[in-house]
Amino acid sequence: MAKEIVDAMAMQRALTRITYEIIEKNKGINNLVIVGIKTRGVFIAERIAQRLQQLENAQIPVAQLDISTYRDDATDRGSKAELDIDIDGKRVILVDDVLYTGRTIRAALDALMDNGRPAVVNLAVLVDRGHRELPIRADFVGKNIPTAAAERINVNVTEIDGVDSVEIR
Amino acid sequence: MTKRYLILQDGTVYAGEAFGAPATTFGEIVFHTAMTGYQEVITNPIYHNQIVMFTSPTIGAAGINHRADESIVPTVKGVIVREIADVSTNRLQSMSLHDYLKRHNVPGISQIDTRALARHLRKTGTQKASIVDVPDAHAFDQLRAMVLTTRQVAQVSTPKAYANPGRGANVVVLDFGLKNGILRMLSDFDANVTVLPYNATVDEVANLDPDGIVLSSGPGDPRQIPDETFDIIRQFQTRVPLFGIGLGHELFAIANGATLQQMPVEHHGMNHPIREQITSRIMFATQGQGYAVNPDSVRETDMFVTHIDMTDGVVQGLRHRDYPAFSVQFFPDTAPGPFEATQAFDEFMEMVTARRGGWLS
Amino acid sequence: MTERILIIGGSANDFGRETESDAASYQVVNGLVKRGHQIVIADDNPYGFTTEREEIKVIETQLTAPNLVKVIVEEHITAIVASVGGLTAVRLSAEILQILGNDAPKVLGMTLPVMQAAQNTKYLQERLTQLKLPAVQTRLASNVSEAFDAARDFDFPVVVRSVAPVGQTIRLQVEDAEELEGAAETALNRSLTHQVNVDKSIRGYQEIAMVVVRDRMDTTLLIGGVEDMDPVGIHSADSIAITPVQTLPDPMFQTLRNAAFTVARGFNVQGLLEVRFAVNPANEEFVITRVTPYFDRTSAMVVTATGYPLVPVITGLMVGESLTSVRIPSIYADHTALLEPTMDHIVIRFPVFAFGELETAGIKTENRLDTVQKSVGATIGVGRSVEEALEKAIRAAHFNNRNFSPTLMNALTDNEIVEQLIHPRDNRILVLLEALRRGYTVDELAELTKINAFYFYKLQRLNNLEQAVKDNPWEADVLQQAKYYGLSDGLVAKLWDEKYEAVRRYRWDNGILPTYKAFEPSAGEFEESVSQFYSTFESENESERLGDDSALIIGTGAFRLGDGAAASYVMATVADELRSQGLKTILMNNNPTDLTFIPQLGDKQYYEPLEISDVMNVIEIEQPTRVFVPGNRIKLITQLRKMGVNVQVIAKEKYLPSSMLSEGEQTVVNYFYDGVELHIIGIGHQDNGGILLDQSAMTPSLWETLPRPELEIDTPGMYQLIVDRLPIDGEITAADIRPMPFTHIAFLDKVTGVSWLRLVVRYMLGTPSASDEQLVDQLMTLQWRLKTARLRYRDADFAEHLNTTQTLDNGRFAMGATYQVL
Repeated sequence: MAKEIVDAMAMQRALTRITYEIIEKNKGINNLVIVGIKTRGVFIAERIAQRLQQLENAQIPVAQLDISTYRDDATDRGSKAELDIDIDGKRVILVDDVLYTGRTIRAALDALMDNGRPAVVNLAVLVDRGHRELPIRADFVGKNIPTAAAERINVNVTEIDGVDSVEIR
Repeated sequence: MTKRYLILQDGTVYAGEAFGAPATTFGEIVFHTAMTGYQEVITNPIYHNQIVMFTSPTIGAAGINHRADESIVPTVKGVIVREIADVSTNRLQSMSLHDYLKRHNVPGISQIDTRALARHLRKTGTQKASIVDVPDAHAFDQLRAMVLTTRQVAQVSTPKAYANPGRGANVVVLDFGLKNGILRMLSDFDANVTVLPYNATVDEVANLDPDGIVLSSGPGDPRQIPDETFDIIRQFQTRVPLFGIGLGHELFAIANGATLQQMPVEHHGMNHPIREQITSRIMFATQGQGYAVNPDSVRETDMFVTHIDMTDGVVQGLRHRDYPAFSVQFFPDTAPGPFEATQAFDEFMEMVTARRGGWLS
Repeated sequence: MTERILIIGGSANDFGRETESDAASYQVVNGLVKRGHQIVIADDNPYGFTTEREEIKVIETQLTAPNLVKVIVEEHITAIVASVGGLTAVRLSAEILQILGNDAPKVLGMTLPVMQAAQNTKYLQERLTQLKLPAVQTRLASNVSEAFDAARDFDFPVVVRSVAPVGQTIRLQVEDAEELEGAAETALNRSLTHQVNVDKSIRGYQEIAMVVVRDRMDTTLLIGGVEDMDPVGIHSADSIAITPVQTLPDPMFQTLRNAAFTVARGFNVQGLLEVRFAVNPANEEFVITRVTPYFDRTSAMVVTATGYPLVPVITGLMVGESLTSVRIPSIYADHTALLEPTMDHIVIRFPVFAFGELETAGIKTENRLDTVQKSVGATIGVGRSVEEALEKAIRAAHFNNRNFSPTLMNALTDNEIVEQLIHPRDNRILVLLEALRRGYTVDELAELTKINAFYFYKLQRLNNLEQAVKDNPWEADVLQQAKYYGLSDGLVAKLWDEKYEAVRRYRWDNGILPTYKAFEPSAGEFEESVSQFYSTFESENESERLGDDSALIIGTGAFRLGDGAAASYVMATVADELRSQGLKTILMNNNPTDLTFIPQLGDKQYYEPLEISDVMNVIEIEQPTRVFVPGNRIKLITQLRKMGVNVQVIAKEKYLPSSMLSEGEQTVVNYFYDGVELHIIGIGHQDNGGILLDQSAMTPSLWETLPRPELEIDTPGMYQLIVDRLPIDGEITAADIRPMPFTHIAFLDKVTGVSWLRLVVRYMLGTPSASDEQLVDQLMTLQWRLKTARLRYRDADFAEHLNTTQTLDNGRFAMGATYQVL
């Protein structure tokens, strides 16, 4: 049975805190772009961008990254993921919902590099559930949730799931 | 039935009925528009030196229940109401408001046209007032001659450090007029709290190796606070999460270069919409403020305004751009007041936990 | 985008449905039309006020889901408003959504789940459990032992109900283990499936309602809380209700506020939601018993009490505006929509019962209060103390009710007092006062009645005050205190055994004068320009004279059995027409659900009892040029005339002992009287089932033969002649002509398409237009909007609500009606 471990309010707060931490760490929002990893990472990226805009009254570019062809288990590894923004020399915040083995992030970094040469890449995740298989660490974490490998973490976002929550099952 | 009088510095006289203690009192008069939570209000140390008038017409119907105390004794100088309720002392109520005030030598006056008085104070602003037996020239002379202390914080702060132990994060609270609600909230997170007096030093704070620091709310003018407090803020905000409330918020603002202004009409109530800028979320919270951060002055600092009162644009929250330090002008401890305001404590404790690198369950 | 919006009306008035939804509907139409939307209203209520508006299309149809689906298709409806037609409109909307599925128009502000939760308690409780909110605890049991398991978990008392009962539903309240065994067996045996539901009993819990709004951005706001004086076990409409909440400590109050928000959020409500709670006074645990996503008596009360512009705000929220951007009328300060109202006065709603009227008419009833609504209307009293608000509410409710005579109280034996304390009747409040007089202590009474002791202290104060007044005739200080706590000049006069005029003069001579205070939502913190006032006796008066050429319109007060809704329609129409004719209108009433409290109808509104002293106080401040009084206020009219006030009476028939019950159909001839002569409008028929208006029955020859006796009055009005049959036997004189009942006036407006009342008002003012005069001259050729229509009195389940066994005279007692185009 699914158990809600982060409710809507806590999820909102986590995103708010990540946003403030991004400003703290980057000393502002100059040169910042946000790249969300499909699917839920994109919505989280947009929420962060929206918050930055409310706070600083400035539009931050947001891009979607489809990493399906970069996965290390992908059969079709030919086509390149297209980003519709320029990341050369930018401070990129890469955003995903859950950080687990680190393989998705590795693929995302490959896809990013195929699109340009960012000045810095930081990683923001809503949930870090542990069990890393690669040397990857998030710079901004909404919530650390220790899990067993058999457990599943579901992040729900209002835009597609009708509700904001993190469930464990 | 004893007739008594409320007299104001500007010469206005209101006749009413005595309740509480039969004493004469002086103080600054403010009006509070909350419809519930009178006990929490009259025991909140921010009302030290003040005579509080409630606009809600009946006060006292829930009696006195010590779980609702915000400090051990009432802190107000007087209570003004239209009607005082009689209650039976059973269940949660240990005594009536009348008996409670009498026991603590605080006078009250009822049968006042509190609506007229609120409308009057709205125009004239805060002023000195007195509850007296005879509203004669002598009483007015005394009222005008009276000088209210500006050392309220020194009077209400704890003289000695004490612990409010827990098994969680190590939190230091600087007491400028701490109300119980703040400790209650920190206890909900099982924080291991040490309360330090308002004049604590940088070393005293450092020796406790805090995971986070709370600057409590408190009464009066922020300029009464010793300089070292500002050093504490500036030094520790770079290292650990720091959370200012009420007067603590004002101190946080000053420490980071903002200025304050005295408000023409103070905010005392729980019905103002407050907007959190980053999410545009609207919430309600109990307010009690006579000073406000000058919003223009914030622009010159490394802080941003995080919360705004939507009725008049008064700053309700700040955050440092570079450090995990923030503050709110309103009371986030809901004693009394709407629950949505408690989010600020969640934020603080989540920051503390995240910085400790710990797992938050 | 322009929407074509269907407003579903609430059909006939009934127990629990006065004119609150019509009043809200009127303002919703204003807001929607202003935003450029097109409005279609489907309703079959002959007393509808909103349906008289010109900017909208009205469809007269019986309110069933299939009929409405037809309307939706034919009228190309894109959205539905379901919140201003009572539970009927909510139920119908839910059915429409289910019939039309994906093709259904959106229901503004309401989701299907909330509509279902409003109708179905079981569904509500399931959803509450999902929202992690406390629901009424219930468990299914198939044998006595399982019933005991449930009772052990819940603690006594519990309620045992049969599942799928054979015959009538049974609910057994069980206090202890001994009782449970028998009750469980009885209930099991009465169940087709041999199962029972065991519920934790909430009898004796305190009832609290929270009215909240929520917008699409998820901003939530508490508009107000209402506390019932009586505990669960007495229908909430039959209990005295108080706002703001008096007896809850802040943490409990905040808990309920928060829970109400959670419910609104959980059901994704965008607009209004009322959440009803039962709170256990012993441990402050609570359950949610009901959700109401539409305007009802509680929201009407909260709107009145707070001065918050609830209807304009809800209208904006329904069409997707947010609380930060919603457009509200300019009389409110900008931030008002977003402010949680805070009150500096007390409002008490006081139920009005009709047992006395029925008994006078020789009809037997049972006047014990229980979980079925018995009250037929209510008044509000407003004051700066509970005492004052209560005194004013009682005064407003019972200006004539023989069950409220103090001599009846003296006659009660001590045993009867105890019995009535435990099993309350319609005169509950008098019994409580009498018990205190006889020396019962506050704590005893609180224990016995489950009413918070706070209220008994207030009642005791009123008793003491009455005694002090009695003991101290012509003492200005005592009089001052009496007025301060709401005692009327009339009551003081009675206690002093003096004339009202003498007390009034003495009061004036001693400078004890009323002060009027504004209803505004900030308790004096902000400057709000408000035109609603109530009186008290304090130091500052906020109501200035409106100016020259104003008209004071006295409302009809609480609804009783019979024509409440029609009377409300009549006085609201009169006020509206006076305003159209350029007069400034001042409305005075005390029924929070009444149409006369629509803000647009009055330049100023006073929420006051309607005794002579209250009316004279307003007259002294306002100095109106004209005063309009409904004709049933005979005593008030006489008293006002005695005081030299020029009163214009909106005539109301004095009810004639009707032969309708026994003799079947009668013929009705309807007249307009212009102050000089009677003009025939047409004929109709009536019987105990309703009224038939039929223009086709009129012929030129019949027209000529109908009598037009000369009346000896000069006030224009609507009149009627009732005869057994046509042609008429014998001579008809002025004595046979009676004022037209309000129900007939309202129906005639609907059927003919002419607003007769407005015509009457113009003639009263001496300002009929040329086309008015032409109309009056050519009534014979008037094309009726509906050629033939029938009004049917609604069978209001008097048996269920009032335990009557006889058939009632509907022409006199029916609370509502529907009509149908033939």
